[in-house]
Amino acid sequence: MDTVNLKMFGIPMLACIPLLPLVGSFLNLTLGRRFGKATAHSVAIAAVGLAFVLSAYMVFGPLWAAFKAGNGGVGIEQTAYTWIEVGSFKAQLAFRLDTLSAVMILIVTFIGSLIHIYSTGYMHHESDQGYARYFGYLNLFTGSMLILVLAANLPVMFIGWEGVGLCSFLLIGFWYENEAYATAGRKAFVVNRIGDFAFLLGMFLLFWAVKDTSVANNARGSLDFANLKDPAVGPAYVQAFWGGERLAAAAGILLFIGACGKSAQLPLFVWLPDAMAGPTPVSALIHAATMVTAGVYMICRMSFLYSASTTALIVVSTVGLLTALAAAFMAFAQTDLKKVLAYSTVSQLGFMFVAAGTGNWVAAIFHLGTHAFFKACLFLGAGSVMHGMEAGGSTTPGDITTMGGLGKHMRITQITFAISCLAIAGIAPFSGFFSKDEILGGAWHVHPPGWPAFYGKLLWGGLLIAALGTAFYMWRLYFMVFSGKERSEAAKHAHESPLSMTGVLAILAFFATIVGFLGLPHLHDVHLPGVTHGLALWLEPSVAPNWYMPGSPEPMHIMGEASNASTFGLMAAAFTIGLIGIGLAYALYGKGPTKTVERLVEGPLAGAYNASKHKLWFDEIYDAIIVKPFKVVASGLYNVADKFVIDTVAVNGVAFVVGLFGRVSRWFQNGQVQRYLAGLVVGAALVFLVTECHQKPSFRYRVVGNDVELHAEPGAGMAGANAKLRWDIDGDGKPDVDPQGKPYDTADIKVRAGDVGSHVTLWIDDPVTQKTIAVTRAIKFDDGAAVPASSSSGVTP
Amino acid sequence: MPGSFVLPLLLAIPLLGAIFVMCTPKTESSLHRGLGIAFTTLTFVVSLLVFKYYNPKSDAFQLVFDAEWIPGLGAHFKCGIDGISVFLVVLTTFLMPITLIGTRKAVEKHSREFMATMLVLEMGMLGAFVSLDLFLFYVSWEVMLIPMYLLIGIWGGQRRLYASIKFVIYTMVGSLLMLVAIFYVYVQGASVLGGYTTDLEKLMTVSLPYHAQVWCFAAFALAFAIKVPLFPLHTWLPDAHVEAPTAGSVILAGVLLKFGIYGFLRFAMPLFPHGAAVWATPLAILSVIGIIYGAFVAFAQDDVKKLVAYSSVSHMGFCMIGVLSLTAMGTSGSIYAMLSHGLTTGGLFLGIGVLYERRHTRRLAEYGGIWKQMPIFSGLFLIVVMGSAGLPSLSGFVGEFLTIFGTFISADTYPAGYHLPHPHLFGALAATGVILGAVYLLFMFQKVFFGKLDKAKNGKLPDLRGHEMFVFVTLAIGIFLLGLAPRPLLAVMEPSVQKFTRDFGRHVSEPDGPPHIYGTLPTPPAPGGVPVAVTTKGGTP
Repeated sequence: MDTVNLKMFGIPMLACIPLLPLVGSFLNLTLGRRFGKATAHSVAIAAVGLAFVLSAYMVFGPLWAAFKAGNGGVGIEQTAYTWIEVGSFKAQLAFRLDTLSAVMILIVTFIGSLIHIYSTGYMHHESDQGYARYFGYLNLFTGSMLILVLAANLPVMFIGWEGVGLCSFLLIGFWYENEAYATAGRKAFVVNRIGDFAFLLGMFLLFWAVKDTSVANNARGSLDFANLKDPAVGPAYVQAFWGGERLAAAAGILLFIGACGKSAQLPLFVWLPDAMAGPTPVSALIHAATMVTAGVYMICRMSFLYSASTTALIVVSTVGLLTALAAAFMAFAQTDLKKVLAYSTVSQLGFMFVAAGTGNWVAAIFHLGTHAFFKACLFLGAGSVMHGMEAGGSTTPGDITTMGGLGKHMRITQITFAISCLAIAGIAPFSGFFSKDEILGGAWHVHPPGWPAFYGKLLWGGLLIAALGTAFYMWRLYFMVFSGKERSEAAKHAHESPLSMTGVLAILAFFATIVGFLGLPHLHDVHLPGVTHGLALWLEPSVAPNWYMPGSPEPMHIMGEASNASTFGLMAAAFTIGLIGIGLAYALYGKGPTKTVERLVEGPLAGAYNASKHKLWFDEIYDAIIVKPFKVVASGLYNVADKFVIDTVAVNGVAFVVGLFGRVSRWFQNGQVQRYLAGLVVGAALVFLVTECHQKPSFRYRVVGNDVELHAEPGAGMAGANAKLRWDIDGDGKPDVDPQGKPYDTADIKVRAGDVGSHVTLWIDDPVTQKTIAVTRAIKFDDGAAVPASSSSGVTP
Repeated sequence: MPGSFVLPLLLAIPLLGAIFVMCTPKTESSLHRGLGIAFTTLTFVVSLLVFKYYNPKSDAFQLVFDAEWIPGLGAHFKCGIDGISVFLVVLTTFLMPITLIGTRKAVEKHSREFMATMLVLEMGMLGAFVSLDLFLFYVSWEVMLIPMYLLIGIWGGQRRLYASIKFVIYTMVGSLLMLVAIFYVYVQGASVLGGYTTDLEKLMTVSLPYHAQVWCFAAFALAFAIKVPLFPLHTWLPDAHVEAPTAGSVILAGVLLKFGIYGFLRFAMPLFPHGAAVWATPLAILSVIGIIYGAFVAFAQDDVKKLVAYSSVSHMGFCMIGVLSLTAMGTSGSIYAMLSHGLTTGGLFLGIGVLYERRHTRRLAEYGGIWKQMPIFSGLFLIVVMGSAGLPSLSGFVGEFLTIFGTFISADTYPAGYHLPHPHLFGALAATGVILGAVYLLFMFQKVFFGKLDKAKNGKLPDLRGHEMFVFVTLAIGIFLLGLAPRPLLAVMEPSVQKFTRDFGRHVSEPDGPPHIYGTLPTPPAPGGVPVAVTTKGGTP
């Protein structure tokens, strides 16, 4: 099949996938105010649904064929047109469908479609205008996300990368009338921009690095992924840069900072908890399932780069671990349903980054996929709970302290929520168990060159603690919401959500249960059907299998070998930890918060509880060291530097001085002849004074052959014109006469060199002042060149 | 030369329009507006004729019209365009009718004189963009100064006199020093060329002594840096913007500021390459300061118009550093950023005009929740804001991206010794503008459009009217087009930009030149990539 030329309406098929939701978005955002609700959501759902169908067709049709033929990593690349081209830089609007991006587009369009459907129920209280706007934004997001994952080069990826940030801003601030929500949206955009700044620099650095390689003037443009992963570029990544580190380390870390912004990792995670201000389906789609995983995807996409720098990877995995731990800790004391889920998302993203940071690309994408299902299910379940609480009359529908016993009223929500909680806690056979186990096992077995030997074990241990925390806080949440007695009137009157919502929950819960079986661990001597390792087999062609070690005789595989015993041992450890967490949560919260909790929180754990509740004071610290100083500097620069120093002192100061001259000269220019005459006289006197002062009486000499030419410069003015001159040639201190006996009294004289002594003196008799000035200079004969000698002059009466 | 009639025609239409408008009765203000819009639209249509004759593959000046003007001086009426100026001309002719339509209702006082002033201003601007003769350029440069002075001084706000005088004196100081430098070039050129001439192309072949270049460049640079405006010569800008009527602000930001960058590209750098090399680093430092400083100060504003004015300081810093990177990428990016800035900042000022016309205040604190009241306007304004903030796929991104990119790699595409020191650092510092731009623009957007609609006066604001809608939709389409399909434009610029950087490299590495300030002279890049052996001479200057 001629895959490159697959087209629909003359547009490359791959371009159509993001284009469909973008068209839907355009329709809803322009004409939406005229649409009714039904038209608005039909357009939106049709757009995403068609994108899903098209994605499925492309993946299971052409890409499947390519995969079978061993070209899964090459995939299909289609170019719409050349976007930017200047000098040696070129970026095509090109899309790339390989096995990695295939996984992503299926997740995005499938979960995206479900969430669009769910939203019809969740948002139907909105005004028609708001409803259309909501679906317009949701479509716009889906389109941008599809551009991000389908991009064939970094600049196009950046279109999607910033596009999803814009949609995040718009959707977090969807209820813009609430100032706090609008601020949360702005915060998300600005923090993301900090990451994007580094992402841009990483991109520039890569371009700079590959400029001398064979791909530099490639028709695709040198930032195309296919070019960047070309083996010929490898040496460029390992060239020394910044203190002997490999260039890949600098580029990798810069790109990773971009990922930190988008995927809410330390220290840029602060926007995500606030992002919960947006409508709940948005939190599920953008802030759990898709957008925030873009950073993980990007690192896997650039696996060829990261496999060339274990320094960058140690940064990635360490940040991932710290984030997983910190976010899990912050989730303990939250009392807002969505906030707990938000921190849980941050923590799970940390898991994914540890996987990516240990070169375990498949596990990162695996966990990304399973997390997308169970976390979307959790968020939508939370939406269903809040919907029910609102219907019951609650004004703070997200406050879990007012819930309890909701299981009775919302059976489907409860069951699906429980399934997802089991999955995230890592209980077999739910999907989260397998994906988390892959990450933990990978961390245990990995030995990147250059890492300390214990570091993999350290990551494993840290993640195990985070997993314990995850199981605990998720089940704390579950018990607080669904078990025990209703703690408020609203909870008593809560009711189940409509089918458009519960149906979606059921589908997601189903997938949260089964997708884990696509990635069972590899065992020795046990042959399971290929589909149970389906994901690994599918992704392998698209990610880097080996560490990039030029000069090493054998390729160094990233994934180490694991014995059956260690595989089962690690699984058992992870499983046990999950059970312990759930048990602990049941003991403390099983029937609603127990007295033990209160005692602990007020007693020995008060400090930790406060720290968790206040999110380790991250927001306060940032406010104190970044936000406030920024405002102070801004207003200081404006009021002090701009208004005072530059404008008042420098600009208007100059104007004032000029004006002052004007006022002074106005005093002279007043039409009185006497004053002009006085000015004339004073000016003339000044002229004389100045000319006298500036021309000192002296003389020059020049040696010409055997003669010396002397030239007197008696000074300007009266003295110079009428002065009487006398010369002492032989240096005896008396005026001399020429061979004819006539005194030397002219300005220009010529004497024989032999007659000249070591010093020549010139007397100038000024007839006006009746003074005599004497100038004495030493004469040097230096190869005939006249070298200015030191002069001395004195005044004799 | 084919099509040589287009440019003189382009200058003649606005002038005829101005005369025509002045002949109409004084009180017919709707007639004046109609004529103004008609003549500027006609100019726009005629300016599109340029593309009929323009050969995008060539790097030479095209559509050249050359007529003797003042024989005694050797001054010619010579105009022509190349890839650097062609889109700036179109930007000018495009923005004029857009501005006049968008501010249709804004000016009631002396509407006849207002239209005539705008038309003369357009002629001056077009003249300065197309002139290939130093004398003609200087005349045009001054011609556009006067109408702007009148616009601010007559149709301006409270402190209009202060602002207009500050604007004029500031600009005059720079341009007088430039005039001195022009005289020097004129006199020196005569001895080399064997006759007095102010023809730019001829004078560009004259290689001035090293120190003369350093000083002449400084004189030109001062005039242009004020216009850009480069930190710390920018304080006339916020005053002028705040006091100017909306139409004046749009043209000031949209077109007039571009003459600063254009002057560097067209005159200062080609005429005095050595001077440019000497001053490049200090100017680049000021540009980076301007990018960051402008953004910070913009954030501190309570007056929306001032905020946008300071944002121009920041944005023009990008344009400046792009040119100073001396790379094709940076230079193209700089021109592109100017085009985008014309649309986005023009759009921002028009949007503020829309608000001001309805609400008669520019204070941020007076707004809030406008989205609820004016959803269409808010959505369109968001596109303009995002275009200005450099969202990829909108116009602002391409320029910002290419200028920073060019700066970042400036060490490599140019012979050693000519790039900025520490290009990576300059690139990284300039890139912080990407963050800061989002900070102040979104802050402004939130303050105006988000939040509760809690001020009674804001509750009665009508959404966009037909003519305003037309203007904003047109601008939005332009912003999307420039962002999504920059390549056709970049391809037209490319030959001239390549010529600019190539000539610069060749001139700077002339064998007779004194040793370069950054070190020994390298081999210049030759057309076609074949290195040309050039011996360099050391010794004292």
